[in-house]
Amino acid sequence: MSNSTFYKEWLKIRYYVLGAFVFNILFFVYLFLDIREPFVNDPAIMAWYSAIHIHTLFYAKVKYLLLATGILISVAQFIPEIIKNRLRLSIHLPARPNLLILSYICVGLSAVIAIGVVDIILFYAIITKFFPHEVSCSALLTALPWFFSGLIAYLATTQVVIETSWKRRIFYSIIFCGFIGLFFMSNEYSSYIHVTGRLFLVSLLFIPAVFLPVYRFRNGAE
Amino acid sequence: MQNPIEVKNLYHSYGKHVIYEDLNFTVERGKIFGLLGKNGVGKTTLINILMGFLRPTSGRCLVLGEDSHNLSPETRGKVGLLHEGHLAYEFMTIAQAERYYSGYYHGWNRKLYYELIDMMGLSHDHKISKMSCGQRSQVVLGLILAQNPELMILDDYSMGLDAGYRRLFLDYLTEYVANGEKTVFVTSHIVQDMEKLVDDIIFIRKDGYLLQTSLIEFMDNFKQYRFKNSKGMKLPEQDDIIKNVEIIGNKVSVYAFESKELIIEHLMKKGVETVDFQEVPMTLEDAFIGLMGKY
Repeated sequence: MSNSTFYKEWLKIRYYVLGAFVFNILFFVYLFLDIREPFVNDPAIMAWYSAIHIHTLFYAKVKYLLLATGILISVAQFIPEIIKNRLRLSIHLPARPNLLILSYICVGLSAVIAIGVVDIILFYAIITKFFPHEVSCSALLTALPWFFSGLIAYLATTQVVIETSWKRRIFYSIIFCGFIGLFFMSNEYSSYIHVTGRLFLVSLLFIPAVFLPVYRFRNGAE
Repeated sequence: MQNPIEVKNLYHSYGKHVIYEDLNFTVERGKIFGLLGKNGVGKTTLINILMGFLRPTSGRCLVLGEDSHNLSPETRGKVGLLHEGHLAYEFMTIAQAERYYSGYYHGWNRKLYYELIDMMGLSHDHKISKMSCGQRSQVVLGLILAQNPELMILDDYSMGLDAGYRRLFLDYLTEYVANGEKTVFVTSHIVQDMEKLVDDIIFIRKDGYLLQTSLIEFMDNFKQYRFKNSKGMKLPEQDDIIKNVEIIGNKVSVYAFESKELIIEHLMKKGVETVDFQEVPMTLEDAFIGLMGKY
C-alpha cells in the first residue's frame, strides 16, 4: 500500500517538485550575485556597515520563496484529487482513509522539507561566503520562520483545497493568512528567536486540521 | 449467507426536502440489480449512500454486512465502485494505473486488465486524460474487474458510451456474474440495456413509490392496453389499479398489472368506454415510461 501511495503522489507532483527545486537553486544563484554585488562595486566596509550597523536585511528576497514552494506543491498534489471529486477514489481504497490522507501529506511535506533543507544549506553557505559565522547564524535564525512558513503554507493550502464549501475556504484562507503573516511581521535580525519553538508547536495543529475537510467530504459535504 | 446489500427503513433529507421516507430493499447474491428511476428521484443520493459517501439521516444501509458509511478496509477491498463519468486518475497512463491499483488488492488480475486494454490497441504508456470517454470506461472497467470484487456498484456506467462500448461493458458484466458468486448493482439512463443485463429491478419514484421485482416477472405482469378515444368519451384516471394513463391523438393507453378482462371490467365500472381494446407488447423502456410516467 505505502509503495502505491508514494508512487501515485510522486506521479502527481514530480514535475512540480523538480521545477520548484530548479527554481529555488536559480533563486539562490541570484541571491549570491545580489549579495556579492556591493562587495564587487563598493568597498567591503559599506556592505558590512549596511548589514551590521543599519541592520539591512540584505537577504530579504528569500522571504517568500519556500512559502510559494509549499503552496505550489500542495496545489499540484490536491487539485487533481478534488476535480470531479476524485478524492472518492482514494477514500474507497482498502486502506484506512485517514492514514491514506496522512501518507499523502507526508509525501508532500517531505518534498517541501527536502527543498527547504537545500535552501537552508545554500542560504547559510552564501552568507558564510561573505560574512563571518556569527552573521550567518543570525541570518539563519532570522530566515528560519520564513522557511518554516513553507510547511505551514503547504498544510494550510491542502486544507483549503480539499474543503468543498467556498464559504469555509474563504474563512480558512483568512485565518491562515493571518497566522502565516505572523512569520513575516518583523524585519529585525533574529527577532523570532524566542518564539520560533512556540510557533512550531502551534503549527503542529495544522496537521490534524487537514482531516476536517476530509471528514466533511466523507459525509457528503458539497 | 448475508445479502450483499440490505437497506432498512432508510430516511434521508436535505434540510426540509425529504428524498426517502422509509426505503427498504434487499439485493441478493449472484444477481444483477438495476436501479431505475427518473432524474431527480434520488438515484444518485442512494448510490452515494451505498458507496459510503453520504451518511443517511436515519435507517440502515448494509453493504456486505457492514454499515456502508463505515466499511472496513477489508470489505472495501471486496466492493468495486464505478463512479459517474468513469472517474479515473487522468494524470496516469494505462500501465501506471495498473501498477498503482495492484498494490492495494491481493487478488489482483493483471491479465484480465490488459485483456480489456489490448482490445483498444493503445500503447500501455497512453495517458488516460488523452482517451475518449469510451476508452476511459474500458480502463475503469478493467481496473474494477482486475480487483475481482464480490460486489460491483456501477453509477450510470453507460454515460457517454456509444453502442459498441456499452455492449462490451454488458458482455463483461454478464461474464463476471456467470459463476453465481458475484453481485452487480447498476444504474443507467439507457433502459433498453438493462433489459439485456439485469435479473432484478428496483423502480423508485419521487413520491416514495418503490417496486422491487424480477425482470421476467415485471415484463410478464405489467401490461399496456390501448383503446380508441371518441369525442366526449369519459377518460380513465390513474388509481390503485391503473398505474398510468397516456392520451395521444384518439388513442388512450393505460398501464396496469392486471389482466385484460379485469381492466375492461374496471374501466366499465368507472364509465369508460373501451372501443378496440387491445394489449400492446412493450420493451422495458416502454414499461419503464408506463410505470414512471414521461415527465
